[in-house]
Amino acid sequence: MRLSLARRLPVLLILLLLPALSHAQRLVSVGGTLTEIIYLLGEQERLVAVDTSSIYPAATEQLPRVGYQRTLSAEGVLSVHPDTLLITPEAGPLKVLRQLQDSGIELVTIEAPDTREGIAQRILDVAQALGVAEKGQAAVAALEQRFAQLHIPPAWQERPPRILFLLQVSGSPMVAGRGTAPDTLIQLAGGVNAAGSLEGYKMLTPEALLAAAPDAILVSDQGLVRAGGEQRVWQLPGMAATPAAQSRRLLRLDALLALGLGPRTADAVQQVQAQLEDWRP
Amino acid sequence: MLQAQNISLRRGGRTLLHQVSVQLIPGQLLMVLGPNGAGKSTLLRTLAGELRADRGGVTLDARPLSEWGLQALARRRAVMTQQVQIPFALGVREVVELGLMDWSLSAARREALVYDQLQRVGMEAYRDRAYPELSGGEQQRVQLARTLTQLSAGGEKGGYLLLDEPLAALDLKQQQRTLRLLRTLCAEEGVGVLCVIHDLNLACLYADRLLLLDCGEPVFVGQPHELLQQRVVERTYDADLIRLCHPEAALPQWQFRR
Amino acid sequence: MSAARSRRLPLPELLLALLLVSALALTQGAYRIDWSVLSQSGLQLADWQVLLHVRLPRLLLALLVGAALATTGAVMQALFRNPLADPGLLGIASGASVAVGLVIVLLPGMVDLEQVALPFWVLSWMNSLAAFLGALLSCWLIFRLARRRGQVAVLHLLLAGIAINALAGAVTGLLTYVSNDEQLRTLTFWAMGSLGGARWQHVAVVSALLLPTLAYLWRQAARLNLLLLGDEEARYAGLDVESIKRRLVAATALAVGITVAFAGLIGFVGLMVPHLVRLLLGADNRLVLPCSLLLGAVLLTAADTLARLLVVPAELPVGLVTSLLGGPFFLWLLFRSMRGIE
Repeated sequence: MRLSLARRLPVLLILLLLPALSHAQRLVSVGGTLTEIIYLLGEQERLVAVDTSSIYPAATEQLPRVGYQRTLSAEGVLSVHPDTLLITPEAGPLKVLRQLQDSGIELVTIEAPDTREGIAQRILDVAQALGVAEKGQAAVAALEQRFAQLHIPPAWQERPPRILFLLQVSGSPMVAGRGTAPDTLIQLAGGVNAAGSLEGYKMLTPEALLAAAPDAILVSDQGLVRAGGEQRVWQLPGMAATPAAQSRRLLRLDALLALGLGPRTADAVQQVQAQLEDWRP
Repeated sequence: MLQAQNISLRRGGRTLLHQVSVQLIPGQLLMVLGPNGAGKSTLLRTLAGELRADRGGVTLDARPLSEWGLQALARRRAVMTQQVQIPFALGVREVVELGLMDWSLSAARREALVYDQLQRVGMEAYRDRAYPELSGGEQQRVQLARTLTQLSAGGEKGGYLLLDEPLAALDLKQQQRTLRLLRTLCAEEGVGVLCVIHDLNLACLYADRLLLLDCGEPVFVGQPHELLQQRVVERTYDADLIRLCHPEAALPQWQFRR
Repeated sequence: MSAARSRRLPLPELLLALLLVSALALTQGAYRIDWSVLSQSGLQLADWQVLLHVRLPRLLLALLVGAALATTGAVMQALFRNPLADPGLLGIASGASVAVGLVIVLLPGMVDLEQVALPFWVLSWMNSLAAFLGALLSCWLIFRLARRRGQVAVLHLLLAGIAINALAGAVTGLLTYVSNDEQLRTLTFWAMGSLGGARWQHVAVVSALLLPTLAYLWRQAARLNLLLLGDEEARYAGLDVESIKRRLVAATALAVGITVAFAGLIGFVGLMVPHLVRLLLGADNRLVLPCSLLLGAVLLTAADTLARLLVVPAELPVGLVTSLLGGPFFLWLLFRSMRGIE
């Protein structure tokens, strides 16, 4: 797995700051995937608080939550006396981040694209930030092994399944187009994103839904509960005539797995493939 | 002197005033009469400076109205319109105090001025009440007090008072009281008062001069007693009236024929 | 209500409330400060840091914004001669929303922010600048729309405001449609209003612009009373109605623009506070304006403190808290009037 220079740049920058950062003993993690990686690397002892999206693993329930990643509270973060804040580019508001910086907290931004390579990069970046680069390498190696074990069912070579990820089940449902985490997930699993003509998360009209002709619908467990159950998915306008509805193929994944790429993505891919085991083109 | 010379006004395709001339002399009580839609209020508002005549002009103290600043004008002439709605619970005292807006006076002086004018209209006991709570007649008297305050604030004598139907909501006692007050203002303080009124009899009884309008045109300008000789009222109002003579004042009074 | 109302500005009571609420705001928060060491060795450096650089600027900002919201509310109500008027009626806040929406959603698409080497502070102030300009622009637009033969009728102002609000709503709606999930959430949270992240430079800018504006509005109190009579009567009494309206709207737009720029949309304060003040003191604006100013400061600070304490260590948007207070407040008003109490 080769990283281009551009992608290596953030890592190099962090390498430069390495001496200062390896002392990160009181860590606040803002971002579910980042938290997951910290546990993966076995560095959870340093973690003092997390954000609301950090729901895996279950041990995070014991930790105080500093709020939603986009609307952090300065005092809330300061109240746990951290020395380092691990964030994604989505963290905010900018004013508060600035305030935290002024208070002497180290802000480390972990940024990586939502691709398979990006997962490894993220793990390496976090490892560098915590001063445990070797653990990071080991984790990445293990990850690569998992990915190597994945294979696309031969039956799918002829025609891969068209999978549609539904973020929101309401009047005009919101689907995941190109460049989103579910999009990568679907591709890794060997399927085709039925909403691949769209960019990002977009609303789909009933006609477009029909035209997309998904073979299966992928939703998050939490999203399904919010929507009110499986029936609501099949009741969506335009859904009835799709192959997915006709064979009642609904794929489910935990929200964190579905919406973010991280250490367990290989597991997620397997889950998707398992749920489509009996699918034939 | 507040003078309108040959003013004409058209709005929305209708002629509201046509070649009306009127003079308001200090110390004189002039009443403007006429059937509905005759242009009485329009005339008053033009004299006040709110409306601009299409033809002819209004002068105050020999200067055209257009040359007067709003504040200077407010110190020289005060206007009372028909119905003033105040959608907030302003106190009576505060409403009257509005007449003092652009004078810088001490609180004690303000209080004294407000009290004086409220007393003249017999409303001094209502000082602390809320204006919206008062009856229509009481509100009208408060507005009159405010108008008087505006005029007297500067301490100068004279000035002009333009009143649009000041008696409309008042009972008999208050009507008489107000009319006598207006007469006092004219006679003792040299104020020129112009009053739009619809009660013909009261106008004849109290006015120094009358202006009778019909369809925007002046049909009579003169002293009330001159109407004893003329038939202009009967023609203008187109009502079945019988003319009498007031037993004490030798002035015309009109009564309906049953 | 027929009894005599107090004509005295309840200054001691208001200042006391102000002090109390400020003390609360400074001492309460997610961050625990050990006050017991104050008498012995003095507070720790980190504690001072929180006090001086997190809580104090935030308190000052809350006081300023609360005062501005309440004062502009009172002014709008006098201008529109309606106790339910609100700066939102003029569409100033929606104009600010559109501007912020444009910056959040469209700007990244048009300009690659990483290529244009903007200093960090510009990025963080960009939303505020956009909101401010959006507020002023929509205000200017409304005024232009509402002028008829050199006169600004209140009815026209209202209609223009409704039009702008509708238009701004549509544009903002479009923006939320084309935005991605992340932008949508940023926009949504901005719209809920928050005083978080307040720093001394914010306080400096806001106070430099707000204090003179509020002082100016306070001085117009007597003229506001005159406006209550109606345009024509106010003119007869010597008030240059057109001029005062222009200046009032401009000052209000400035004040609202600044508050929106730094704190997002915070509703209900402009409605609740003057209403409450009028219930207690009557409608004389010479009392209502200064009283609203102080009470607004107190109320918003209290709301912000609640916002910081209810879901510790996270915090609620302060606009949410004011709405939670506003709803029951108006229900209470409704019940009062239904029971015939004036």
